[in-house]
Amino acid sequence: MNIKILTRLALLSAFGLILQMFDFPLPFFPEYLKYDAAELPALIAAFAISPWAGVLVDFGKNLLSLLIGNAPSGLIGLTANFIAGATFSLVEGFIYASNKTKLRAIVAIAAGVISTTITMALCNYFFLLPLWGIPKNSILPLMTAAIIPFNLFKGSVTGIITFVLYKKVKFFFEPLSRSKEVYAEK
Amino acid sequence: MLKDITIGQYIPGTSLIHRLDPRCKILSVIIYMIALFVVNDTVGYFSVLLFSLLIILLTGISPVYYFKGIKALLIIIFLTVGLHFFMTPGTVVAEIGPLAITQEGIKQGIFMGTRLILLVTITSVLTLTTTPIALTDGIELLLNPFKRIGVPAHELAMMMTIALRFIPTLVEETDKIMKAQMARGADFESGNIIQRAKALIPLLVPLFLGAFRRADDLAMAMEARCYRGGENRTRMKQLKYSSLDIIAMVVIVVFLGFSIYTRVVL
Repeated sequence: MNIKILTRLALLSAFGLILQMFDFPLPFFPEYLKYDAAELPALIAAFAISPWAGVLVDFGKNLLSLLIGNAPSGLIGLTANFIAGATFSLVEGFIYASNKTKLRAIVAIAAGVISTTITMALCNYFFLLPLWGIPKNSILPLMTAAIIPFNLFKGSVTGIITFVLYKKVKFFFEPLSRSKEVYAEK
Repeated sequence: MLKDITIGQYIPGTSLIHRLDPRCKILSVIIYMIALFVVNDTVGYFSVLLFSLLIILLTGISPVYYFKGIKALLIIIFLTVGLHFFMTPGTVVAEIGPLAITQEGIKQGIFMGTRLILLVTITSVLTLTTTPIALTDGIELLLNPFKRIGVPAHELAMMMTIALRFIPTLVEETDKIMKAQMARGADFESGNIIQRAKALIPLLVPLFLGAFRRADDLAMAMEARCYRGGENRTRMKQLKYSSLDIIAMVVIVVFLGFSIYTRVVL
């Protein structure tokens, strides 16, 4: 791995962790489902570097929260968070990678939100909620009432911020000579 | 708001648990969790509970720190326990309106509540007795065998080390930029979710660019010192297994065996 990419991914992971601390509860949702924009660095990495870089940033972010003991929902919560972030980064990154246009970016984010919601619904149904010890007969109501709308909502908000933000920071990832010039101008 | 953040939970000490090798601790936690999910009856849960209390006593850390970890999870624990109390069919013990509490429900609820609390507590034991850096080293060495199938063990550990070092710097920078934008009239604390998300943009752009700039400076400094990945690098602190680690591994494996025994035989 290129050292420059390594350090950038490291800083993005650290940044994800900081964003995770800015969480706020949403109206109408149970309190343990909080919104935070922590996927943002991973999504930017998926756009700007590669889909797998996004996955690595997301993994790094979750590992960091485990290392420093900043994981209120424990190992299961981190696993859930990682599955969601990794799916989003991979889908978004691969769709965008083949054709880097504005329209493609929007399609990529939308596809990312939808696939994340579906993946999280499946994961929650088959192993995450049972791991929490939620009884089988109350899984389905909990899913339709909280988890699916929550993921859809969280994904959309983060997706919109990613789209706006990526436009403003992508010059940094363009070939070095050019990015330096732009950076000097700013 | 940002100043309240504490990075890391490590509490220095010289207890038995503190002295274990981080690799041994990580493996033990994994085995413990398997045991926790294996047990399914009163004897099983009771033995896990006793074993956990013993570990907590051995760490020599005040229980207050463990309660802090549990407190963050209180809502989901109540939710789980409550759902079990009311939703499990069986012999009715008490009725509150249309809801009935069953005997089986109480039992199941207590089991699940215990499992959740222990799950959080064992993670706390790990992070309270091990420094983040030691944990990172442990993870790297444990992942080393998987390098062949493409797991970037060294890169991941390097990323974690760099990230840990830069978290305080980034927190400080975030605080600074927040204050700078607030001085210009930015409002981060009020409004609905869309307005709040929008307010984040003028904060995020300089933060991202600052982070990238730091990353590039660091990369250049590393290149200048001929850093080239994990091969043939030596360590300042070598991790070594001691007899203590072997004893700990034997204990935890015996414990897992006992848990399987309580499930299969009893």
